[in-house]
Amino acid sequence: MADRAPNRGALVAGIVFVVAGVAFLLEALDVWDLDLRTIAPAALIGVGLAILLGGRSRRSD
Amino acid sequence: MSEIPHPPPPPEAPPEPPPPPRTGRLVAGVLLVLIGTGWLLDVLDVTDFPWEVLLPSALVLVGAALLVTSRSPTGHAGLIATGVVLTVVLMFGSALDFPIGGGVGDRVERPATVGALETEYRLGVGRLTLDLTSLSAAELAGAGRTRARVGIGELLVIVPQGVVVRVEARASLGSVRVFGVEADGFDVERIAGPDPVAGGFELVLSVGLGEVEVRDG
Repeated sequence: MADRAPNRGALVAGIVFVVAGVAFLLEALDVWDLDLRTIAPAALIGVGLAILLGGRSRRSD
Repeated sequence: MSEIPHPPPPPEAPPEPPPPPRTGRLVAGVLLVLIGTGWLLDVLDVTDFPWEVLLPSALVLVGAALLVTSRSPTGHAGLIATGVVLTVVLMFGSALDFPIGGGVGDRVERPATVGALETEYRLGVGRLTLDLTSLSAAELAGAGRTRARVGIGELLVIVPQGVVVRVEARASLGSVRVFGVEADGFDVERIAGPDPVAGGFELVLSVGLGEVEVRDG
């Protein structure tokens, strides 16, 4: 199992969730102010990256 | 009669490897149990759960578990589903400034002394009235900052006449009316009163979807 290639979808989802979780945590602690104008495009970027990297993963399998 | 030689027995099949640990299901299950327990304790007023910190931490945990188990062939679906649900809840809460765990219903807060005035009032859905008319303008002058948040619904703050107060009122979608001056629309904000000073009375009010109003009593 150690030499198995990482699942790219799980990697991308993991990175997206960690980044999003840290962002929401910073907002909860009043370190950073998220608002609708930044959340919506950031979500689009995340979904777009996931689609792009997921597509590359399937072609390389 | 010559004996027919038996063919050599086929080699025994190697024992099946144990099923891979269902890390995803495990983490998702533990998170759901923890969130459900916190929710229950919150509803029963046993404790006030800090959802704003716990839910993002849970999302970070889900992401870290996905990174750690990314080489595993299975166990990602539960984690990804949990992460998506958490992300949607947090985005909804952040976009509408929704106080997760704030409760539902109509609530009237009428502090009788400055000491009883809390630093934050929260309501998830409904109508929150903060009536400060039991306090005098002089008492409120050094009351400091009070925040009030309603996710969906109405927030009404009634202040005593003549009080010196700085008001920052915001609605993600809806209307804001501060001492008779109204604005409505998307992400509207009204600021009234003097610049904030240390210890001065300050109201920071927000509603996600609905109306916030400040008026004299």
